[in-house]
Amino acid sequence: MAPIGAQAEPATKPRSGEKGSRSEPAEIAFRNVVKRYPGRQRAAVEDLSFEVAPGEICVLIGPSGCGKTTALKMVNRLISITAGDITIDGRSVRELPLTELRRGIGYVFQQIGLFPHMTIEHNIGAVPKLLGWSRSRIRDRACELLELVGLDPDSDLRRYPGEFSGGQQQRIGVARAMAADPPIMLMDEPFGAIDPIARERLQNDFLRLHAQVRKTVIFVTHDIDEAIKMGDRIAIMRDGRLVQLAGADELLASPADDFVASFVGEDRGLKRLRVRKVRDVELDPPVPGAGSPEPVRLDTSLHHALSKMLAEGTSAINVLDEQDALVGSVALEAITALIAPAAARTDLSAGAPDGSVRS
Amino acid sequence: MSAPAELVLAAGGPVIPNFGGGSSCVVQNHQFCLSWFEHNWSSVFEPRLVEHLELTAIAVGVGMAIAFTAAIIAYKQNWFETPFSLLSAFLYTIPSLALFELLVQVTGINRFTAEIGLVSYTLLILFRNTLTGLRGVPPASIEAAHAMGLTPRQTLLRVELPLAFPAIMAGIRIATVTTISLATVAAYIGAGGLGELIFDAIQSGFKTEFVAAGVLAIVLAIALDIVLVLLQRAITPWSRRRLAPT
Repeated sequence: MAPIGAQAEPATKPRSGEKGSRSEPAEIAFRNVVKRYPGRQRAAVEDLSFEVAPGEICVLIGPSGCGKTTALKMVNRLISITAGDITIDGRSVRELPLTELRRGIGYVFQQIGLFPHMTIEHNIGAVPKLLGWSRSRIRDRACELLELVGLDPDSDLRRYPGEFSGGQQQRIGVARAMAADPPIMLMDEPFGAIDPIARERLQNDFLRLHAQVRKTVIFVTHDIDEAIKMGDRIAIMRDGRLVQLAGADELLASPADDFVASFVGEDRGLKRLRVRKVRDVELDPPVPGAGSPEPVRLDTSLHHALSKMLAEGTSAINVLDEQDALVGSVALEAITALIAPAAARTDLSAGAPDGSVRS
Repeated sequence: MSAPAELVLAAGGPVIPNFGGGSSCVVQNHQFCLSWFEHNWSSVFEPRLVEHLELTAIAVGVGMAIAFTAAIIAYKQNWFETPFSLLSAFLYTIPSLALFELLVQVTGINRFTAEIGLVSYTLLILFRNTLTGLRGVPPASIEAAHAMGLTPRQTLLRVELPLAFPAIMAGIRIATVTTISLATVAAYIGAGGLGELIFDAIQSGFKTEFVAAGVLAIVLAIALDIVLVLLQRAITPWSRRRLAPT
C-alpha cells in the first residue's frame, strides 16, 4: 500500500488521462485513542479503538457531543491526541510531519471553506500547488475533477466560489479534497447544510465517485438515514465511546443495546428494507397478467419494491435482471420473512440479559 | 495712477502679487481669477501639488508599514491589541496644531517633523482596519487551509491577507483622504505642499490663491480615492462577483 505522503513526489506519478484514483487506499487504525480537554471532567473521546479497512466508507454517528467530530479531527491532527494513537498504514499520525500528513488527507466539512478570493481552478489546485505541480498539470487535474463531481470545467474553472450555490460549492469542496489524490478522505457532516434535494444528489454522486476512486473514507454525520446510505460500516458513539460498529443491516437487525436501538429509530425494520435489495430475497415464479405493476430490478431496494406493491395494492411484483430479462417475482411474504426472524432475535438479545431495562 | 493712492491700497487692502501689473480681476481681488491661476500653475501650484502628494504618500506608506506590522502582531498575539490601540487612539485625539507645535520643539521646523505628525494620525485607522479585516476572514477558509497542510505563514500570505485586503484598502482610503486635508495644516511647520499657499493667501488676502489651493487639495483627495477604488477592484475581482439572485 502506498504510504501516506507518497503523492508528495509528483515525478513518480503517472501522467495518464485515466480518471479516478491512482493511489492505493490506506488503512486507518484507532488504538485506545483518548481526547481530554483541560478543565473538563469527562473525556471527549475515551479509549476509542477500531479499524477502517482500505477503500471503506466508515460512518461515525451519534448524538451531539458524542465525540465523533473530535475523533475525525484527530486523524489529521486538527485536534491533538491526548493518549493512544492513530495509525495510517501502520505509521503513527503523531510521527508524520504535520504538513505531509495533511496533504495526504482530503478534508471536506460542513462549512465547505472554499477560498472566496480564488477561482475554482486555484481552489482545487491549492494542495497540488503546494506539492509543486506544474500549472498545466494542475489545470488538467482541476478539469478532470470538476467533471467527476458533475460541474462544467469550461464555464466554471475561472469563476469564484461566491457564484455557486451551496450544493455546487460542496461539490467543489469534494473536488478540492481529492485534488492531490489522497488515499484518505475525512468528511465532517459534508452535506449537513445542503438542502434535502441537493443533498440526496450529492450523496448519490459521492457514492458513485467512491466506487470509481476507492478512497478510505471516515464520514461523520448525525443523520442515521445518511449513515445507512453512505456507510459500509457504521460506528455508533455515545459519550466519547464506541457503542457498536457494524454494517447497516446488522446494526438495524441487532442493535447492541437500547441506546443503539432508539438511535437507529423505531422504524428500523423499514429502514432495513432500504439496505436490502430485491436480489437478497428468494424469488417466486413470475406473476402473469398485464395488471401487475411495472417490474422492479434485482438491485432495486426492497423498500422501493414494497412501496410499489403497497401503492398498486398487489402482493407480488415481477423482477428483471440487468439484461431486462424476467427472472421471477418478489412476494410480500418473502420480504416479511427476511425481516421478521431478525426482529425476533433483537427482542431476545436486547430484552433477556437485563429485565429491568424493559418492563 | 499716483503713488499715494497705491500706498493706501497696499496698506489697507490685500497684498496682490505683481502689484500694479495684474489684470483687473486680480487688482479687484475677485473670488477666482482663472488667467492668473493658469499663468502661475507651473511655477506656483504644480510644485506644491507634487509636494503635497509626496507628503501624503510618505505618511500613508510609513503609517501602513507600522500599522500593518502591529496588526499582524496583534492578530497572532491578542495581548498586543490593547496597548497599540490605546497608543494610536491617544495620538489621534491630540489636536493637530498642538501636536505639530510639540514636535517642533523636538525635531524642529521641517518636513520630517510634519511627517511624524501625519504618520501618527494614520495609525489608528490603518491598524483598526487591518486587524478587523484579518479577524473577518471566514474561519472555515482558515480551517480548510490548515487541513490541507498550509503552514501558518502560507495561510497568512495566501488566505488571510488576501481576504483581509478589502478592509485594508478601505483603511488606506480613509487614511489617504484624511492625510491630504491634515497635510495642509502641516504647512504651518514648514511641511510645504498646498497648505503653504493657503497660509500665504490667508496672510495676503488674495482670494484666487486661497481658492485654487483649497480646490486642488479637494481634487487631489477625490482623485486619489478614485485611483485606490479602481486599484482595489482590479486586485479583488472576487469581492464583487456573487451568485446572481434567482
